[in-house]
Amino acid sequence: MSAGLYIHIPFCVSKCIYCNFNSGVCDDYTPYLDCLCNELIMRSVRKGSTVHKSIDTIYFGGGTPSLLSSGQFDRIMDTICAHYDVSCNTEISMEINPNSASQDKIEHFAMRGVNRFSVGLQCADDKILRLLNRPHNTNDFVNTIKMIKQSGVNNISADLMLGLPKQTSEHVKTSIELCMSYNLPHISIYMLKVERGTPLYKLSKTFNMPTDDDSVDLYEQALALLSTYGLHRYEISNTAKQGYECRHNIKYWDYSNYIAVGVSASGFEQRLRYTNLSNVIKYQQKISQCKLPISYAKRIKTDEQYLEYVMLALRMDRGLDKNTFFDTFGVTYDSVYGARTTLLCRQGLVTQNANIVRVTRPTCLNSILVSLLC
Amino acid sequence: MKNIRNFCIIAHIDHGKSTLADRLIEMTGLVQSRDMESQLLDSMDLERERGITIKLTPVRMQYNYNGTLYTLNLIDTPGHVDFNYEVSRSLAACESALLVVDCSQGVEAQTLANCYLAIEHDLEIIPIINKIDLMSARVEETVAEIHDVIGLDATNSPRISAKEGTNIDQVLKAIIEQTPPPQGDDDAPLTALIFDCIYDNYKGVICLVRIKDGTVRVGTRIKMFQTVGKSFDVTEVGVFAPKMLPVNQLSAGEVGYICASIKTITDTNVGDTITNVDNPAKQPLPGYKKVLPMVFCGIYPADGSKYNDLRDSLEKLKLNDSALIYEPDTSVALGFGFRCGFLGLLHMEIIQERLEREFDLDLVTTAPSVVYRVFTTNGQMVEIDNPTKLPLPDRIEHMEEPIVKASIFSPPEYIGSIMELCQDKRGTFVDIVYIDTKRVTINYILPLNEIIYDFFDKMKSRTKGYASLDYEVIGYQADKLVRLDMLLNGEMCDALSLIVHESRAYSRGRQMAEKLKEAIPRQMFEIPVQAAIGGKIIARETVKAMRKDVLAKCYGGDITRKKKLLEKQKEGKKRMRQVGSVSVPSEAFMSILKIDD
Repeated sequence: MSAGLYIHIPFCVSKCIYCNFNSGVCDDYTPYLDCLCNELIMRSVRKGSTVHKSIDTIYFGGGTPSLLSSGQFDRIMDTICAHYDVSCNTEISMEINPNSASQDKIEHFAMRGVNRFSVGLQCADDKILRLLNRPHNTNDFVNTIKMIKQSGVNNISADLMLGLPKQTSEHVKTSIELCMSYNLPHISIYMLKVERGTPLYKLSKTFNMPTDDDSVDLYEQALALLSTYGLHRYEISNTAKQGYECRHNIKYWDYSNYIAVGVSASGFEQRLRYTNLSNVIKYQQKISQCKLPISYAKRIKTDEQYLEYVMLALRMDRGLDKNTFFDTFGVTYDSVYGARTTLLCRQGLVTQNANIVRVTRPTCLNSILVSLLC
Repeated sequence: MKNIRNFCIIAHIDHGKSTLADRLIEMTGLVQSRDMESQLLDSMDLERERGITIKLTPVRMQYNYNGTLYTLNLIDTPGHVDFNYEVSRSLAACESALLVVDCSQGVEAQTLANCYLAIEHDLEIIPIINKIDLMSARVEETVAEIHDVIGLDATNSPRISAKEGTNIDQVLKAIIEQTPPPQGDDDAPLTALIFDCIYDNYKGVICLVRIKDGTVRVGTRIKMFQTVGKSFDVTEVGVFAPKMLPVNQLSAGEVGYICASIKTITDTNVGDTITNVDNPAKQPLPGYKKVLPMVFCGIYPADGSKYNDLRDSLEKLKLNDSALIYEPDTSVALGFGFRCGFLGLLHMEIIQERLEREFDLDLVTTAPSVVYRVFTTNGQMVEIDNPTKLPLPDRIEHMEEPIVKASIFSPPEYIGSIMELCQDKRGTFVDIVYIDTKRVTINYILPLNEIIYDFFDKMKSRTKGYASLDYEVIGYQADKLVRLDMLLNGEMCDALSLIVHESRAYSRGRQMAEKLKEAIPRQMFEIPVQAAIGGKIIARETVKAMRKDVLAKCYGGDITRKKKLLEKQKEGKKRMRQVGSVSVPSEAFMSILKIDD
């Protein structure tokens, strides 16, 4: 099985008020990119020999990877191609913010292989976008979509957020309809989580924030509307038309390997989970010492692997396949979780058909997992 | 022996006992003033924080008076009505009692109650007029009040300010001159009254004793009258100065401690008499009147696996607090725990806090209950202190509840609000006695179960803290009592049941349902929270089903964050109790205790 490759570009033109992700405003990307390329090489080497790792998905996340210049992007792609075995039908996704790239640049990205763009819209309402300190308006979004299409890429996703301050169901409807008017085949819907330490955390006390119940209402409304356009939910936060599911993201859920490169990126290889340092300066120092910039690494023990597998598989609409569980671990699913699954079945929280276990209420997945796993 | 004086200090709460004790200790040079902490004898953190004395504490002082060195043994005592038994224990070890009266407040209910206790024990009462430094001091009125209410002549009593240290020497003079020296015979067979015990991890049980006759020293072989068939070798004797200080021997009239490698806690009983094995006394000293607990509640470990820790802790606490009683109990909702009996609500609170602090336990307690007499249709009478043990309604002919005679001392301007409170609490008015123009006693007959919840707090808040309460149980009275049950998702939760007066059942049921609705987190399904009397639902609230607990963006495949969230939720679930299919957090059981009428 080929692995996925995640590349983190932590730069943004401005900081959104809800963001606690590792991103920031910076003028000179070169020192970081030097290190990133070095890390790409380091991670391609295993036990002294340069094994070309086989990969079939690449995901440029951020931050705003579309801020990279054409030359910078080429450098990264060249490094990847030189040190990894990139499959010919590799899915190459790039997160892009409206207004962050010119037509020329988008065409250059596409020419170098990017075949999937994920556009951060969040909400098609300019007042809300301003409130969130997003560096674009709805019109910029439309322009960016047009440019991507112009470049020949049709596999486009838009990110929408639910539970934003002052957001109504009307906003959600407008946002989805705007995306659908451009026939986008993939929509991610995320519920806003107000994180400590973000500007929104303070502001949320003065705003009239939607409650959890409101957010779930919006979520259900969004799913219902999307399904009328033929987008089905294949994972808790992701909907797509048949065949447009994001292959890279699915690797997270189906227990595949993914390599991570860049600050605060998280990877999973051979049952080892690791997360890189989140401080750009410290990250660069480590790399310049020829050391992996890891802040956390843990080999996952067998029983914990079961737990992770179930936790991730149940996020998928297709559910958990007991046969695949057995193929992966060599023990039957029922011998580990059979009794509790039957109990949850009786409570109507999961279903079991043939070998497939699915949850009936994905929004309460954690509670179901607690009953199932603990 | 003729130079020994054993005395205690009695007073109403807040009248300055502990401060006076501090001054006496300072005056006799026992503690360097740099080591002096205020309220020295209140060594428990809890005592200092709350500003109250819970435990009696002995201390030995030496004072040179007119060229003679006197040994003064002071036993500090608690002032709250719940801790009467501690007072009576210290009284048995003394020959006199300093009656401290705050002259800005005058004689209070507890002053009187403790004073009568002291008179019962044949103690010499030495009135002390305290707080003369206050603007509101009414020295002469207080002297008159002591004469009128208690019948003691306080004309020549020391007038002091314990806080400022004024006239403390007069107190010492009064102690020495007015306290009779102890009677006893050094050569007679040993009799030593155990008036308290402490457990020490290294020394075992430490007995606090008053030697009546005889002498005890290291190596003396001793036995206890109530512990048949066991004897112990004394390993250490000493006095409290105020920390433990070993001495060569304790002889008749003295107060101190004895260690004898007593490892089994149940081998020692407060009130028992220690004597020699070789030359035993024939009769034990008169012990203490057994105190009867009046308030009961269930105590369970918040973490079910800590049952054994709770048992050990109760055992150790019991040694130090003989008024505490407990027996194993089980609850469907809370698992294994104990049914505990207390002297009152404050006592209950103190025990809970001591268990949590001194033994580091997390507890769940059930609603307090009194002892009800239940007359069944087949003509039997059973005493019930646990609502879950109540027979079925059709088996009950009638029920009786304990009633108390409550005396409330207060300035006259609060008569109205106090009477209103008492009426609210199903009280029956007896009379109002005017002590003088500034003080009255309001007498009421009240059901004890109305007092144990929040009566004391309510009274204090309605009278700006001026009123004081004393009560004694005077008997039982029939009334319409019912058991109120709480149902979660249709299943009764035994730990939440309580017995209430019929007229209160509806409002309390409604309040409890509301509180529980707040305290129970949303779960995967809707949870009806109902209050019921004998199967009839009288109130209902609903905990709505949870709709969302997930969905944060999974940034770049960072699974660790998700796992942490799951772990957190798992930990949370561990602290929950399972009532049928419903997970109930431990706090929910406590939240219903704090209901305002």
